[in-house]
Amino acid sequence: MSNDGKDFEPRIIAFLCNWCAYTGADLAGTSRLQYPPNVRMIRMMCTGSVDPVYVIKALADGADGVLIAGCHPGDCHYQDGNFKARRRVAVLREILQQTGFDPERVWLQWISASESKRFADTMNDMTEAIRARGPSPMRQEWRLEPLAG
Amino acid sequence: MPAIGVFLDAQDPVLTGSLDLTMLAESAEAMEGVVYVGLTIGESEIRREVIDHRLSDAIIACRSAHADHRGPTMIAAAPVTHVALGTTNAFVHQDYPPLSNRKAMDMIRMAVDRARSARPMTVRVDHPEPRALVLGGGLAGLVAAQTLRSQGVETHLLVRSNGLVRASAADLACNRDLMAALIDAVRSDPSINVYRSSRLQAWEGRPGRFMARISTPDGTRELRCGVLVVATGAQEYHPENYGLNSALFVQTQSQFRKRLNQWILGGSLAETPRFTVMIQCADTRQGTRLYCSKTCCTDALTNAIALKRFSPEAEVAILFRDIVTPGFREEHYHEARRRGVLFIRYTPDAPPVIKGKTVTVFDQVLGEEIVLGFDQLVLSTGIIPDPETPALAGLLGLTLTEDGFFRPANIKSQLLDLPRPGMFLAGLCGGPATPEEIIEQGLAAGLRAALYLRRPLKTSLTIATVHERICSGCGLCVRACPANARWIDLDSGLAKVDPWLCIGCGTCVSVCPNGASRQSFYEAGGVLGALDAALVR
Repeated sequence: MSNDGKDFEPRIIAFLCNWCAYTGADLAGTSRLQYPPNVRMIRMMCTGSVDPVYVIKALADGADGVLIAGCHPGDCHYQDGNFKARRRVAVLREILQQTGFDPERVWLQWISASESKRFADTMNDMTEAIRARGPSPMRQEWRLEPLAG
Repeated sequence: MPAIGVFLDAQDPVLTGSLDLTMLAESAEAMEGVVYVGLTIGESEIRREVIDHRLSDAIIACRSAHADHRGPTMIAAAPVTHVALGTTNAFVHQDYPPLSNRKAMDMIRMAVDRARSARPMTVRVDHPEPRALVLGGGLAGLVAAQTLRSQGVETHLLVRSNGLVRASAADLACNRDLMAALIDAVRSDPSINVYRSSRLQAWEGRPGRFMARISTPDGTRELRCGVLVVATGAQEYHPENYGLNSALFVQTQSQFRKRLNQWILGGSLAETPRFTVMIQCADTRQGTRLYCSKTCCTDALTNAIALKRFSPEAEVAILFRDIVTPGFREEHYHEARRRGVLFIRYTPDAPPVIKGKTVTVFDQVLGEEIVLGFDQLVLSTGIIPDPETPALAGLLGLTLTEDGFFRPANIKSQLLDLPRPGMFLAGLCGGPATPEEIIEQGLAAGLRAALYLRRPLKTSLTIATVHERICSGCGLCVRACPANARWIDLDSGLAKVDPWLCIGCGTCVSVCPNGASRQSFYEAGGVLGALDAALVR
């Protein structure tokens, strides 16, 4: 698996809200919808609790894409956590752009508990979109290989 | 020292068929912090191993995580993480078995790494105040009060008006005998305290231990209660633009029903109108009120049938957009047609135009305008929220839907729970409903409230705490908290959290610039650890 070609396997981190997106992901499994195993999910209580530091840490660790998915606007289990997440991601993407990092690697999606198809579609689309963008520049720059010998 | 137990569901044939559980068990055993690996996920077995091995965390790798869909749980004081090896891995990657084995290992490692940086968690336990307050003495409120009473709960019923029941929009179509029986039952029940002409003035405290201040004709009093059922009802809409209230020949369905009853009881056939026109969705389902009120079609049909029964000579025309007759109410439509009621469909872009005692409408079937003369115009105007609903929502810290009704905790799965624990919803204050539905809601809300009182109160496992040494008292978390559980302590100048109000969402964690705000179970170190486990191998 080469890291520079387009035939690489993207590594995607997904922060999923417990109430909507994670339940939607669970339903996708129950419905046996198929998507590539490139995603590692982290279940949070709310998208509003996803600290931008977590996203930056994921990118710095070499994730090729980060998905934040939660309840549709107005459906937040905690009233307005998803709106806070939306503002935060908008700022974060701006910051990533300013630092020369491709902001299109960070996705924000609204996926309700019943939208298993939407979850599977998002995972398929995102894997392909990130594959098309190539590996994250952080992958090479941050991986320190031990000296041979 | 963390002592983590990993429990793999080796008895699940679907899981063992698609994943290499032996390999997973071996690799889990080698992970740092793991002291026990089990191959069963029965709760009693896990409990035994947690106690025997003094496990600080239990990780259950099973088919699906729906068992803890409301958030993390505990078994014998050990926080439990469910790893859904089936639904979020094996089932969705059936084309990639070697990779999904790899992903399963990563998922377990992520859970182990999160658990390793977790700090001990405490859950506080308390008992709710064994008393219920019901707001509103309409159909929903009466049924809810009776249900609570039948469950042995001391019940207090707060009614705004002088009588027990003010004319609610629901009793238009409601069985009057049932209503009378309900009122008698509640009135004669000494263990339901009814406060007439009373209002809720202040609402304080925390879920399960609320404090209500109510103003009654005998003065203000305070009431401690464990649950609240909001059943404040709604009202019929009275639009301005039809000459309603100024002319007796223009009435709403409920006003018309009252007059009809008088005619029928008095046997005064001569007074009944010869030509009646009913307009459905009059000034409703347009502009800012797009919702359907669910009951007005049935009201129109039953009124038309009652009129035709009493006076078969009377002509009735119903101008409608679409007839909404839930369930067996469809029978009313057929009966009305059989009795010769005329149905004329109109579209919102060509509404009926009223001029004097005639109405002009474009008939969809004939394809031309027709003019109908009438002696009586009856408007189906629908249900609007009670005008005091916004003020009450403000007092209780609740939010309203865009239509102005109380918003439930979850539109699909928790229709009768309000977003705040210990508060429940019944009847029209939550939106249009048929009388049968209102009765069901009253029963269900009463039972849910009674159930809430039976269970001990527990603080959330994902509760927020403040690391006081690095808190700068900026107050960002106070503003971000959706539950009003935080405040800045005036003495220390630091943020404080009320563990009983905290709902464990973690919003305060992500707004804190210093990392002083922490969420138990989702410690920053734990999340970062999980990220490392997923990405840095």
